[in-house]
Amino acid sequence: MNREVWEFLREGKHRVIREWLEDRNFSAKDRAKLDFCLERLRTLDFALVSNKLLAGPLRGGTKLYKLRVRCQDKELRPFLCRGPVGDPLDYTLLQGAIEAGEHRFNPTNAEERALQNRETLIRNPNWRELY
Amino acid sequence: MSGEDLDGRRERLRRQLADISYCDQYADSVLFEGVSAQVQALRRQRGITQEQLAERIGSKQPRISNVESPKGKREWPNWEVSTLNRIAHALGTRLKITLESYGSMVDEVGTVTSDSLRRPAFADDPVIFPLPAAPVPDPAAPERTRWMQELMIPWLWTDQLELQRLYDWLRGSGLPPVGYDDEPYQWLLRGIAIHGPARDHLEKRFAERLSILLGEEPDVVMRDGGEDFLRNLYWTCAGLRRPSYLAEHLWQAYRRLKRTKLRGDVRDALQAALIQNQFGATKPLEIWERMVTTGRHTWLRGGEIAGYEGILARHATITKDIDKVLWALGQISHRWTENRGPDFKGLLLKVPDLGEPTVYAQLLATSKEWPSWARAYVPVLFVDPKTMAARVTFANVEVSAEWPVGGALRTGVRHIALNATAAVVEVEEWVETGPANFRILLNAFTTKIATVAKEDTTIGAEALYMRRVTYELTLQAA
Repeated sequence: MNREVWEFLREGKHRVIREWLEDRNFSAKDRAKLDFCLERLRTLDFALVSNKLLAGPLRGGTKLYKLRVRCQDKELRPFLCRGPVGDPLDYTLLQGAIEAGEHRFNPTNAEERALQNRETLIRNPNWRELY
Repeated sequence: MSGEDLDGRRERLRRQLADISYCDQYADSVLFEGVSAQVQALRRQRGITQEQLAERIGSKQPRISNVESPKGKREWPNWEVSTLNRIAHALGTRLKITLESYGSMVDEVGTVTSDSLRRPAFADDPVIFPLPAAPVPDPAAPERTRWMQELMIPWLWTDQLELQRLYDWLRGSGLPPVGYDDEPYQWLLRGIAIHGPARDHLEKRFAERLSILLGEEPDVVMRDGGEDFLRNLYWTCAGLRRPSYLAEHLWQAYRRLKRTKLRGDVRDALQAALIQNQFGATKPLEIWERMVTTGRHTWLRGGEIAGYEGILARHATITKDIDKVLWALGQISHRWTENRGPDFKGLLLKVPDLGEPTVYAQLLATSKEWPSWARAYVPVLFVDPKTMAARVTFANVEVSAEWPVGGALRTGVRHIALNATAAVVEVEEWVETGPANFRILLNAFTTKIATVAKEDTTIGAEALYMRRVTYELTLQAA
């Protein structure tokens, strides 16, 4: 049972993850790892990915997850959630982030931004596109 | 760039693979993540834990954990082929290592699904051991049940998961026209209620699919109408008993939900599922205590209604923790009234190891706090080596034995009338001479209890464990 991976559109037009990847100029290896993880999210059932590729739901019952992408010199942690509109089993990428330590992210307010984006998406269900 | 379908994703990957460093990295991910995902998927398909798999390969659980979810600083795990080979054999499969072209990864996009990772175990390998024909619906079942079985048996007999069907059924759609008065979970359970050994196979396959569904954490993602879905899901789980498939997911759901405002009927269903799918030594205790405290005690398994009896009889933890049993009995005795005396007696008789003198002593001490009607169901044993007398009182029968100094061994039975006046209806002399002997006295007493139990079946089970207590004392005396 495949599911889709969506990407939040900031202000209804800016693709938060694609722009993050371009802004940060990640290496080909980093992008390969991220792409592979997203491919697995699409095709494997949740129980098979939840322990390895995902961390969460994060504290406070926020329904946010972190995608765990371990690269050579950094830990990519894009935030995502399930749903929150359309098919509840789909995923929506909400905010790009790099984990710099225990609950320390770059950008520092990545978790809050992800939460805000999720709320915004619930209010504007069309502000997302397939990744 | 707009969103991509499968062909679009393949095309995008094809372009990315032109960069050799991207290509190498992606290939490594396919290899390592692929192996770990398949080990986990197959272990789950077999319904075994990491500990059990580790045991099969003569290793410890962390090694399996390291294969399924590599941890540590290393970018890639350093598994040994021999370890993977042993895991493959333990899962009833073979390890296959091939070298492939990079380009083959393009065709694999979208094909590595949970279904594609599954493999039949050796004994179920349809090439080596062709599968028997799928069972036929129970001809004796009502017509609508047969319809349901015609839907479910082929679905479970094949190796395709097709979970969407299960989703739909649990939402109440796609079921046969079976009337509005039945819940989807009832129909799902009837759908596998066939006679014979195939039932076990169907139940196992069903539990496997439910386990995957539970793994999706539907309690987290379900919204509008999700409660009905969850209630049906949990009640269906309650109708099966496959701890190795369901227990861990149910427990995780319970942990997530226990502090949420969950609809009462969903909570009941989840607890029922947990009770039917217990495992481990400590985890279910928390639930069990809550259920006893709140008095929720009606659970369903198939058509059978089980209650506290079910908990006491099945709870693996209780046999190791008699204090909890006695605590529960105390709670129940204060909540119930005298008219439930026979039920209470039934519970009492399910107390594990009551025949052990120490457990029996604990029961006696604890029951002092119970209401008098409940206390009356605890058989009271009196044994005194100094006066050479032994006596046990059941609800309405007293059995005694005594051997006074200079006298003869006597055993007796006294029926206690309900109006509290007592009448000795039988006293028999035991032909035994010589000096009083405590061990012989207890032997005679035990024999007498057995005789009385044969004649009065109402005290049968109590008499059985009182015999055990007395027998233990006899051994000690010897």
